[in-house]
Amino acid sequence: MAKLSNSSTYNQVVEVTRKYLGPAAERFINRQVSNHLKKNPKQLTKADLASLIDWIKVIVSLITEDTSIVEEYISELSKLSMPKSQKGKANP
Amino acid sequence: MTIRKTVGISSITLIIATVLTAFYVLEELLLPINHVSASGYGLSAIDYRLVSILVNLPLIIIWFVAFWGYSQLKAYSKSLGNSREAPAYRSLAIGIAWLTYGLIIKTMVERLLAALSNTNPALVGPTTIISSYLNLILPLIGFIIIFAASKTLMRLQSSLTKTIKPLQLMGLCLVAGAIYNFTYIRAAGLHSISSHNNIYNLPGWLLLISLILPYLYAWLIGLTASYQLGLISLHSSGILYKKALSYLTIGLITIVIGFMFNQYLSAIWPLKNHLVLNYQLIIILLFRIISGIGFIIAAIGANKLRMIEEL
Repeated sequence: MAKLSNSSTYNQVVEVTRKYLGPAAERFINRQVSNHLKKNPKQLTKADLASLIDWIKVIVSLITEDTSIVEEYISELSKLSMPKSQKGKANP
Repeated sequence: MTIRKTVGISSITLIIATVLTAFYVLEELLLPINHVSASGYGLSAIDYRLVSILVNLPLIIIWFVAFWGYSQLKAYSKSLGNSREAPAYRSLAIGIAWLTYGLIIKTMVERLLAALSNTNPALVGPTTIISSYLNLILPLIGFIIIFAASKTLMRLQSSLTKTIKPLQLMGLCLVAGAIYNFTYIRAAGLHSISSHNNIYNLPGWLLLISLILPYLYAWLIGLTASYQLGLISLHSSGILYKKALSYLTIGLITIVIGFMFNQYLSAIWPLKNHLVLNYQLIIILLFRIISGIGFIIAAIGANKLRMIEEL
């Protein structure tokens, strides 16, 4: 069960990233998790999200100067680390 | 990031560009000039050579820009590794390489041909013929490769195959072809289909089969490739990816259209073995600059895409 929810976290992160990086999303996330978190991307957990998001914020800020897109992307990723009850409150 | 990675031009490409440019400058300084033309402009031999180099200085700058653009695209295609779109972008880079190298090699060979015809007027005809085919073949190979790459990218986005509008494209090509044929035949001064008494020194039937029709084919596939690249960019996903890709595709489209117009102009104003300082030079330069701008835009897009793949 834990492994299923872990791969779900990875898939959720890739899905959010796809809105911003399109076909490069999966490669991008794999690279960030492997290089910066030093783990298998498919073993990504919610506990890893905080560090991952910090790295992604830095990297994406280098890719684009549009801070609104960066903030939007980070915000979407941050929602993944929230418990479901808080997500409901954040999005009435 | 190293400076080399930031600038995006490999040492080898820079060396090749510099060597070819130096070779061209040496050609201008050493090869025989057209003394009649020099006298006509009231220039001494050395002044004539210097003016030739100055007139072609924008072109030399465009060569370096083209090499930079090609380098960026090549670097991006390498950054894709084994991804499914990698082969198509590698082909795009090769196609752009043909256009880039073709641009500089054509100029160098034409300078050599002009020198030959200056020393031996009997060679004016053969040198014009060689120049005409060089003007066709080098960009044609580039267009074929770019077209094949754009077709592959279209196939990867299967939803796009239903959005192609072949009739509109063919209509555009027919109109362009008709205009081209009219101006070409008028410029050639063709009086009969078998006579080679025209500025291209080829019989009319051979002009039609070996130059006019292949030019039309080159422009058809160039326009189709541009159209397909535009569709790919419009229908791609990912806000940041799409923005970067749109730079690349707009750049590539501008390059292809710039080269098409250059081919057209070189076809109706064939090689002259002397310096030409009139409106023709300005118009040719204008479309070369358009191609140069295309290389810059494509390089910016390729660099952004490479950052997405490498950072």
